[in-house]
Amino acid sequence: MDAIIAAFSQVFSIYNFLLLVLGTVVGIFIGAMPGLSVNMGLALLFPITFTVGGLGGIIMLLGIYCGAIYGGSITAILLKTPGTPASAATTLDGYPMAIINGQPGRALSISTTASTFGGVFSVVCLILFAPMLAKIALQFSKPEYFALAVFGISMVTSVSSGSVLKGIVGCIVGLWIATIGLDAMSGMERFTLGTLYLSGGVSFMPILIGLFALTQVFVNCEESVGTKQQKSDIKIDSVLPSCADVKLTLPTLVRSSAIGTFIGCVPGTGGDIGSWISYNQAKVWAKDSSQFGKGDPRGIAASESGNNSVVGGAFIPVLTLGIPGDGATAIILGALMVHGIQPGPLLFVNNPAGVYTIFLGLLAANLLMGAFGFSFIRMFARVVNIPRQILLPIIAVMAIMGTYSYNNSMPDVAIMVCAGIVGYFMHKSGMSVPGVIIGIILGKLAEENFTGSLMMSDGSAVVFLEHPLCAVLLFLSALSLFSPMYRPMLRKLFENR
Amino acid sequence: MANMKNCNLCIAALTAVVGASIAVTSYGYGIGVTEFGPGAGFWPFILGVALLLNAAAIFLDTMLNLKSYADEVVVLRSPGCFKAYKLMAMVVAYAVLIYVLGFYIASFLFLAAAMRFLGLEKKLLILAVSLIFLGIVWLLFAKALHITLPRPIFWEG
Amino acid sequence: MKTIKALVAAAAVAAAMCAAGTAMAAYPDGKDVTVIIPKNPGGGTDTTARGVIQMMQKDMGNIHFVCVNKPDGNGIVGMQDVANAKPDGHTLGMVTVELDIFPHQGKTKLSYKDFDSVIAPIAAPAALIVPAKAPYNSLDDFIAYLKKNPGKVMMGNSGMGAIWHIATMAMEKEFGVKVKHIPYPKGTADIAAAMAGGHIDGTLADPSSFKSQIEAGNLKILAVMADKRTKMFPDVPTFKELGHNMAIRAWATLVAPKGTPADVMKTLRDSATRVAASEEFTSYFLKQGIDPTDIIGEDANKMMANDDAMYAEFLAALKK
Repeated sequence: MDAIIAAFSQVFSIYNFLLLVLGTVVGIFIGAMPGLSVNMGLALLFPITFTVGGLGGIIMLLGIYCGAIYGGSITAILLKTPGTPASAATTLDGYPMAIINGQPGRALSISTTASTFGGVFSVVCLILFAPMLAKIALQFSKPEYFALAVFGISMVTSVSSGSVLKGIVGCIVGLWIATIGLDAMSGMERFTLGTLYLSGGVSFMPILIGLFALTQVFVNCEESVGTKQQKSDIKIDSVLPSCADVKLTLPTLVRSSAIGTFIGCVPGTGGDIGSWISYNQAKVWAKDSSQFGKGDPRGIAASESGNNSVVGGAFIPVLTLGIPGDGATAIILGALMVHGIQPGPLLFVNNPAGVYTIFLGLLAANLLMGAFGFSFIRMFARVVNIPRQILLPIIAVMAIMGTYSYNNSMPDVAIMVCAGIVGYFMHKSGMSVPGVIIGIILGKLAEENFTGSLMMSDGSAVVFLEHPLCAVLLFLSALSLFSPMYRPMLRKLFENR
Repeated sequence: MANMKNCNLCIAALTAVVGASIAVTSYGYGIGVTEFGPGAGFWPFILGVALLLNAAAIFLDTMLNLKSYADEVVVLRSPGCFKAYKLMAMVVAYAVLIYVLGFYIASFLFLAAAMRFLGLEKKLLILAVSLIFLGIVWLLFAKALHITLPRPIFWEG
Repeated sequence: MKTIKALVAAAAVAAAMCAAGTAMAAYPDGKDVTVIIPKNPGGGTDTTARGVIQMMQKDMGNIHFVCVNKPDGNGIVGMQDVANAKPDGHTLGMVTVELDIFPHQGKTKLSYKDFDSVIAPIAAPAALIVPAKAPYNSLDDFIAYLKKNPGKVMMGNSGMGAIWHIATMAMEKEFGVKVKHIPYPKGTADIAAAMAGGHIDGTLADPSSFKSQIEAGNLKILAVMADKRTKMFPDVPTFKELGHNMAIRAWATLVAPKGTPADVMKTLRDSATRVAASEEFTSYFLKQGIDPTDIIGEDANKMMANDDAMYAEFLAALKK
């Protein structure tokens, strides 16, 4: 009890609370700007945590982390440009609802609600179920990671709008792009054409920004000819989502948050995987999935709660095992250690006040993020009415700026521009883009764990069936992969009963 | 005007070529599976073969639905498209200019040119937006975040 | 007479002041100093660099460091940028032990000779870490077990051809044993997760990622490949003590391009010396589970040269 009281006084002391506010706002900004990554923001502010002393610095980092994962959705919805990779899935329904259907306020409010819900849900799971979930996460060895990656990849057939066959091409190309560079499993350099840049692999951020932001600039440019820009009458009665929307998305929110929390607690997977799998599952379980990809609120809800719930989940291995779930938690883990909070199996025993401070800090950060999000909605929605002639060039500049800032690399910018041009022609020829992104994100996870599993089993492929969790996931992946073939048949079967 | 049938055939051909090259290169990396695990080319080889199969599937699908695909029009030559192509050229030029003139100068030129190209007439507005936007970028990136954006190649120090 | 003397005196003083003035336009002179970090933000090298640089900034007072991450090409591009930069003290960089490994794997023509060191704040030794419940409690026990079970014991590393894999191969060569190498390319955190879950049997890696598990009693360290015992685990013997002279460390060094003027190097090295002796420095690293080192200036150059020779020899022997 004393520990909880001590935690309250830490988090809600004026100084620390202000730091939390600052962190959350900075986080939302970093998240919204494509190219500025969460890890970059955390790394930048990491040394400052020492100057501010006490737990204030840690609390600020928590604010940045939560804010950044939410911030990405803003640009994803308004500009079809995911500010962070975790918000890529949000563009699929967020952008159509906001721009094509003219309801930016509704899209933003659903996304903010979903993000806050996901975040809070995951922190509650963290508080209640951390040790149990950690045990499950530890069961994950290479075969399980492989199966998880395959499960993610198998979604390409249901997530592709338009021709499934062409979507698969994109996915396989994405998987291949992930193999370019120095292969850590064999020490060999592959597909590098002898260049130094490629030996480090193709960074996927430039491709993400190019395929989403720049392609959209070109598509909008084409569409702008001959049509006058409609000034949307943005009347936002309330920034909060309507009762109907809440009722519609509630099952999605719960399901996606659970998925995201679980994915977060498996070390090595992050918000990008969480949001895609949640999106796909939402589509699979929806009775009427025809609106997905056209502005279905459940699509936004699934993606945003899926990625924000990874936050709480990622803290599970950090606090219970002292092992970071992803790059961002690795930085926060370092900060915790420097401040004398030693995460790991002994943490709950040695430093309960520290633990509760983190819990409370995370809860507060998520609620603050929601509060700021809702209050900014009216302002953000106005972006929709900025004249195209001004907005498109600015987006192009932002794309270039963001890509360069990511790795301080001009070759990345070149790749981004190429991706933008290729994306335009993909759009023209009915090839959907999400497949490529899924392929690149999951490519390394899939291959490294496939190869690694075979290394562990001395080349025997039976290993994938020997591990029960792996076998189950692989089975589900097969179901998912072939779903466009048998789902219409199943539906007809049930309808005729 | 192109149609979807030609488009699909094009894609199938490209995919087949890419798939074949990947498969061949991967073969060179070694695709055997030993007790030390699969060779470095094993996984990419599978990908290359998958692309070839995919290309075949697209080809078959197009052939089976020749009429409906041929009817589907793919717009590549409309005035809108040409505008987009010109904008693409401008973006490429912009990227090259960044290398030569540095980020801020190149961005200013691009913003002004692109806004004018897209139809904005008011010169004052163009100037104002470009300067204000770049000003904010400078404040945020150079001052607050200390992220150095590319400098002109003639910039000393 | 007096006027002339006074004038001459005044002129002399003026001249002296001018001379002193130009001498005072020394380093640091208020311009930003870029530090290129050839790794992703948030990784071990990155947080180490940012921490040390911030402490040096506070110590020197009139300097401003700007960190730039350049992980392209496995970090080689970043290191090349530092080597090619103007050697005037306004561009520094971090280099890691890979600088001594890559040239011998044909990945680059860069070498430690292209740089001049300021300080190497970390040099994490390869530590032999195994599950607590394992039936071996010392290096010799472990080697005996390996001899009885050749090619079966799974040892995790951070990538084939990377430093911990090399350390494991060195162990294999020294003791005449064979293990199964299992790479975890994302890094030692994944190895820690795999060990905590019981999926692999051991690893030779930097102990900082395993600190919490070791302190909780789930893992144990048998030995470290270092010249001296570590501050964090003073009870753990070194390979050297046990009769095998092996020292493999993953170090990171703050360097300047070769040819940077001596007075600039002196200013930086002096500041680094002060920082390394401070309480803040030691606690910053120890708390994260890293053993800080204070290898400064020429000592760091020597360390890089020694390691380069060692890896050259070892990797050439492997090729045979």
